[in-house]
This record gives sequence, structure tokens and C-alpha cells, in this order.
Amino acid sequence: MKEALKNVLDAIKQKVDYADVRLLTSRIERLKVKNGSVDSISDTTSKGFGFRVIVDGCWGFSSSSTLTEAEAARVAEEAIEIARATRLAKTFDIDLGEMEPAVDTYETKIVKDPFAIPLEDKIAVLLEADRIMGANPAVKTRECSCNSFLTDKLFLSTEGADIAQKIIECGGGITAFAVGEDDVQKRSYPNSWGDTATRGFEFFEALDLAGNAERTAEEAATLLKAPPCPSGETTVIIGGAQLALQVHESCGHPIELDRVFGMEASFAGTSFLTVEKLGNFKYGSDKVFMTADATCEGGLGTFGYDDEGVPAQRTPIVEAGDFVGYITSRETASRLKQRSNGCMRADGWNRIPLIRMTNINLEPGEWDFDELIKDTKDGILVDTNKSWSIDDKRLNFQFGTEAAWKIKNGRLDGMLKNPVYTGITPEFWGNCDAVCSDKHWHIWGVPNCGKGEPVQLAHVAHGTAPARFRNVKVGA
Amino acid sequence: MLGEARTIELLKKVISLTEADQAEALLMSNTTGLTRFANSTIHQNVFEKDAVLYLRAAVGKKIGVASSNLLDDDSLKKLARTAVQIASSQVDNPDFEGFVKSPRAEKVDVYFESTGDCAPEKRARNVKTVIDAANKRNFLAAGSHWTAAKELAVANSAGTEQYHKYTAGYLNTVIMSPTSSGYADGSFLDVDSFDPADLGEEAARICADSQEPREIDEGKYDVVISEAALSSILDWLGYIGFGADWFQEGRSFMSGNIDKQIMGGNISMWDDGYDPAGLPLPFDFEGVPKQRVDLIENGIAKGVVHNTITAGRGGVKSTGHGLPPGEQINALPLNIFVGAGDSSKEEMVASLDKGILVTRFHYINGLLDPKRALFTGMTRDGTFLVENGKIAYPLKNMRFTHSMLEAFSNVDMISREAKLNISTWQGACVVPALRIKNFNFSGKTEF
Repeated sequence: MKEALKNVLDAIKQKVDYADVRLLTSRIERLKVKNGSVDSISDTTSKGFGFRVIVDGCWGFSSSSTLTEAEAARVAEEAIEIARATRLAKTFDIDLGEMEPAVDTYETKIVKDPFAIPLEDKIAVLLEADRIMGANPAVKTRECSCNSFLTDKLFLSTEGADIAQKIIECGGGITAFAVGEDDVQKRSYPNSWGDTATRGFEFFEALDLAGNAERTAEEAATLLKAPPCPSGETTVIIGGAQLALQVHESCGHPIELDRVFGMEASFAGTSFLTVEKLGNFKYGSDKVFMTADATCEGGLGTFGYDDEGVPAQRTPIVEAGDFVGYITSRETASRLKQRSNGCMRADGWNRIPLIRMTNINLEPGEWDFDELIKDTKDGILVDTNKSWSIDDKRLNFQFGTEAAWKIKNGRLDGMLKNPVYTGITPEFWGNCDAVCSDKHWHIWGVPNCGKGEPVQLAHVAHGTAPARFRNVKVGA
Repeated sequence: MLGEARTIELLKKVISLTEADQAEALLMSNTTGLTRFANSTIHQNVFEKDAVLYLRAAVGKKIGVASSNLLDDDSLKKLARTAVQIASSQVDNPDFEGFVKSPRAEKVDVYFESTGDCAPEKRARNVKTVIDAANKRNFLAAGSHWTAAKELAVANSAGTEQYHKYTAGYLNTVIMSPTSSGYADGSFLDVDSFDPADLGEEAARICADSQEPREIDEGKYDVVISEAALSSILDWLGYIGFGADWFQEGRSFMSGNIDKQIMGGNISMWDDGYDPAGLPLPFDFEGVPKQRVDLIENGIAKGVVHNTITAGRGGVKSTGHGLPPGEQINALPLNIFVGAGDSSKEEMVASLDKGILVTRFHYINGLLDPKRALFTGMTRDGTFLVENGKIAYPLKNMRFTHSMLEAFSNVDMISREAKLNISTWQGACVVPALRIKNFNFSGKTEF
């Protein structure tokens, strides 16, 4: 099919300002065990291609799953027709800026191919974790999962790019629901949506779901009897798993330059980080360093090239609290007289690439976690996301977490249930006075980041270590 | 579009290729054109054509699912093998009672050529009409406009054969000034049945009226929420409350409350896959014909929706609300209706001594405490303080945190008009506007 697509690109070259095509095959295997039995096993394959063209300064895109040269030629012409229709409402010409086209290959480094592991072996791990959680009488529902992803993609462009990539991802997790008369409490391990990485089956094995099942179940049961999180303003230490979503919602989304330019305005909203703030805005305290790093080994947002053929990069976003960078595409970077930092990705062959987070990381600080607790006289520790909501400029947020622990005189002093904390993004990060060290730093995979219409789900990640925030409004 | 005969033939073929004891095949085909615009220019204009085949193979009580969009003979054989291999690796599913023959669902004719054949030029013209409404006032328009033709077909080895085709579409816009925004949307089955000029004018008017918003204190206010705001609440309410999975596990606000009053006596909600006022879908993704299910009747919890698995677990019959294989939950209501009242929206606003008019909610989350249906979310795109029955001034956006059981117990006016809102995935709801007393706003933002 590659030759067919090359032929079609050559054939339309004179009719377009620019064109690229992506040929993609994806395979997803999902296993879920629930309450002692295998709830579902599915194996999904999807294959197709999509042409993206610029004609007279306007975008057009069309796609198909019929893999013939004739269909490719038809789809390319359809994309051109769509671009021509776009001219009806055009105010400027698309400018992609300059780029050296890459000819390269990239493949995720893995030890064990997750698709080569027998299903029976995966099921056995999940059933064992389920059995252990089920031994706790308060736990009424248990869910355990193991997921594997394979993406083979080819990118060709009229500029001469020719990039083949093979991305493999694997992960899983467990959840226990303890049910009381008028209450349901949930604990998950390692995170509320498990954890996933660009690694092989060795990553799933290292999660040790069975080894963490008893504690997970016990914490869910304990929460049923725990007092609710008291309301007020206090010091909050946020665990790494919850902090990953905090970074995601309050930093990752507002630094998407297409969102900043209003291209998501009607759906997910815009951003408070408008362009005049670049290099000129205090996003957080001097303890806060953030990067967009698509090169981290094992991160779920790690790849070789984005879906515009731009190589993966590491970009500073926040340096000592100063806002210094966006995540960009060729088109949006060009508007800022920059070069793309390689963040355009599409959720499949039938979707157009959008600016997506890569691994948006809170860089580690210097604190040891135990020392940080000891250093905190009064406050709470919260972790593992339960609910999330943020306004359409990414300022006012409210997060609920699965669990909280009271901190009294430098010690953890019992669990609290239904914790919720809220704030305004730059004030909140401005009140960050401690970040734990690389000993506690982990890249958390987020396999369900939604953006765009129709909604595209991206696999992204956030490296975080627990951090402390002062004067946070909390409640239940 | 593959058409009924080719689709059913394809499903029967893949079923015949399996060596499973029983099999069920589901095909979902989709032809969608989407035009997105922002800053009063089209920035994304796309088209896709795809068909995905799911095969559920049963070996005894073991089930395996494989799916693919590769529909050539070799790929179908591979799909059949994969599904059986997965099933053979499985353990027994005690809730699986075998595939059965479902009666043919009654046909509903909801395919409109105007939508199915909608060209990108037509979408672009509709978008241009909305942009013109913004340009007239020196505002900027953003939004999206999609039109789709879809097919859903199910067959199984017990003899079930179902086929349905339909069209659907949607246009929404946010029109923005430097200090405000206004929203309007329209869902339709027939692209010729709606007027984009009306939508553009409505969003532009709200944008104009909401300029230079002011801040008010958090607290409890009487509110009038629009149909768009209610439909976003319904999306979550259906997920956490009206599906059988959470209900059976004791996690739903419906659990333990059947035949109990949990909302006000003026609130009724039901699911009806045949009502032409919604987006009819006469059978579910297991091929079971849809039953009308009363969810809430005069405030009393009446029932939840099932697929064959949750029905087997609960000792009842499937209501025809199964989802495609591999989803996180088994059953969801995809055609929710909320009973209309006898007021106009204007009367509802005019009746407020002091309250808030909400055009739209943003980023609602219903997972804070599902047993209480405790939700949070933000207002956006036109929030107004109403005093003495008249809009006093626009407001900066506010966060609500409130139990929806309490909110639906405090509804004192319901609009007589109900509006269709089609989801971009599957399904739709038909909802009125509501006046709700003592709605809790827990926070505010800076714009």
C-alpha cells in the first residue's frame, strides 16, 4: 500500500500547496476481570489511511479503510474538494513554516511483546488480584484490567518525509469498590485508570497487581468508616498519581497552542495562557519546573515523530515558575515565528492530527516524602483521582480524590473520605512550596485524554513526584 | 453505505466461518463529514468512511470478542479464528445464557438523503451563515457542524437479523467578543430542517448581552437552566444511575430506591428508542428490540436499562439497551426523554425574583458521590443575573456543586418545549428547560 500512496501523492502534487498521508494499523487487546470472572476479552484491529491537503491555503482531509490505490486516489481528490469548500470561510492562508523532511524509522523498546504472552497467563494474574480483593467482605465489586496496544504507522508527505513507526504500549490496574448502606468508596492501584507505558509486558508484570490487592481492598473498606474530609483552607500534599491529573488539566491543556488560538473554543474551551503571557507570566512558585518531553523512556507520550513528521522533543514549559513554552504544531508554531516542537497526533487513520500533550512533566524537586510529611504540622495528603472539572479557560478547577489522610504534627493520622480540593490555577501553583525528589518521581500514563470534535482520545503521560501546596480550599 | 442485504449477508458469512458453539456479529458503519470553525474561519474540514465488524464467539459459557474494520474474506476468516481463540482462553461467564433469536424490530424510517448526501460545500455554507451573524456584530464565531449517515446491523447464530440505517447531524457555535461568549446548537436528522441563521443570531445575541460580566457571591440561587445545560446533566445521570451495572452493584442512586420518591413529583424520565422526536434506534447492539423503560415516573424511581448479561444476572429480560462489546459497562439508556411542562422559557425567567439564567454547563463531573448524584461543573457562554423577572446583568462564570436528586426535587417550572440533543457518539436526549430552586454555586472564576 505504501507504493500506492506514494503514487497518489505524486499525482496530486501539482494540485496542492502541501499534502501528507498516514497509513495506520492499530491493534488493541483488552482484558477485564470483574468479581471473579472474566468480564470481557476483546481484540480490535483497525486499518486505514487519511490524506491531509492544503489547497489555496485551506485544509482538507479525507480517509478510508478500503486499501486500494484507486480508493486512495479517490480519497485524495475528495480531500482536495473539501479543501476547496473550506475556501468559503477563509480569513488567512495556512503556513506550515520550513521543515527538513525526515526519512527514518522508530520502534518502542520492549523486553516482552505483550501480544505474544498467552491470554491464560494474563487472566491468571487478574483473577489472583481479584480473588485477594474479594476476600475483604466490605468489597462488593472488583475490577482488574490488562491492556496492550500496537500502532504501526507510516507518514509520507509531498515534502519528501517517509517515516515508519511501531509503538507498543502495555499496562493495567485494579479497583475495589466497598459498598455501605448509603455509601460507596473506591480505591484503585496504581491509579484510577491503572497505569500504562510505552513498554512491553514487563511493565505490567512490574505493577504486581496481586501484591497490592489486599492493601487496595483494605483502604476501600477503611474509607467506608472514615470521617469526611473537613472543609476549610489548609496545607495539602498531593500524591504523584493525583498530581499527574492536576498537571494534565491545569498545565497540559492550557499550553496547547491551538486551544490558545481559539481552535477548540466551542467544545473544550480556550486558555488563560494567552500569547502575550509567553515569557511574561508567573505561572507558579520558583519550585515549579515543567517540561513537555516526548523523549522520556517509557512515557505513554513518547514516540519518534509526531503525525506531521516532526521529531520528538523536550521543551521547557515552566522554569522556576515562569511560563516559557507551549506545545505546538507546524501551523501554530509558524504563527509565533517558531518551529513546531512536535506535538501533533491523531487518534487513528480517520482523524486529523491535533496538538496533544506528550509527557508533560513536573520536574522533581529535592524533598524526601517522609521528610515532607514530617515538615507538615497540619494538613491533608490526597491521592488518586475520583472526579475532575475545570473551567473553559483552565483557571477554576475542582478535583475529588479517592482518599485523603489527615496530617497532624508531621504524621499521618487516619483516612478521610470524599476529599475535594479547589483553586485557581496560577494561585494554586504559586502556593507550591515543595516537590519531592526523583526517588519518588514516576511517569503516570493517561490513556484517555479527550480533545476535539469528534472526540479523539490520546495517550499522554505526566511525570510527577508528590508536592506540597499551601492555603488550599478543601472539603467533602 | 453497504445496504441491508449486503450487511446481513456479511454478518451471516462471518458467523458461518466460526467454529464456536454460537456467534453474534455486529456491524457499525459510519460516513461522517465534519466542518469545524474558529476565529470565523474554517480550520478543519474532514470526512471519514468506516465500517467495524464485531464478532462475539461463544464456546460453552466462554465468550471471546474480536473486531476489525478489514472486511475482505481473509480478514473475516482471521476474525472468526481470533474470536474463538479468545473464547477458548476464557473462563466461564456465569451470567451468559446463550444467544437467542430476537424478533425483528419494527422499522423506523429516519434516513434523510439530504443529510446522507450532504456535501462539504453545504456544511461550509451553513457555517458561513453562522459566521456572518458573528461578523455583523464584530464578534468571532467558533463551532462545529457534522452530518452523518450510519448503519447498525446485528445477526446471531440463533437467527436474529436486524438492520437499521439513519442520518443525524449537529451544528453548535460559540460566538465571542473580547469579554463574553454566547452559545447555540441544533441537532437534526434532516439537515434541511434547521436554519443556521437562527442559531447564529441566538448565539450572537447572547454574546452581545453577556459583555462585561460582573461577579456575584457564591451561594444558593434559583436558576433557569436551558435545554443544553440539562442535556449535559442527563449524559452523566444516565451513566451513573440508569444502567443496570452500577444499579446491581449498589453504586447507583437508583440502587435500593425502586418505587421510592427520589425526585419531585413533576419529574418523569424515560427511555424510548422508537419515539421519532428523538433519535430512534429500534434495537440495541445485541439485536434486542428496544423496550420503553420508565426510569423516573412522577419522581419515583421505576427502573434501569439492561442488556442480556445484566438481565441474566438480575433475573429479568433485556430491555434492549446493550452497548457494543468491550465497553466498560453493559447497558445505557441512549434515548432519554424528560417530561415537558406547561411554561415558556420566557415565563420561567420572568418568574424569578432573583436568580441566575444558565445557557450552558461545562465539564460536568458526576463521580463525586454517585449515590447522591453529587455533580460539579462550570457555567459558560452566557450566564445572567435575573432580578424582578428581568435580566439585570451578565455574570462571570460560576462553579456549581450540587446533588442532582436534590435539584430534581426542587424543580418548580418546566418548559413546554423540549429540545433534541444528539450525542456525537450514539444516542440522544430530548429535554426541556427547568427552573430549579436553591441551586448551589460553590465557586467562581475570573471571566
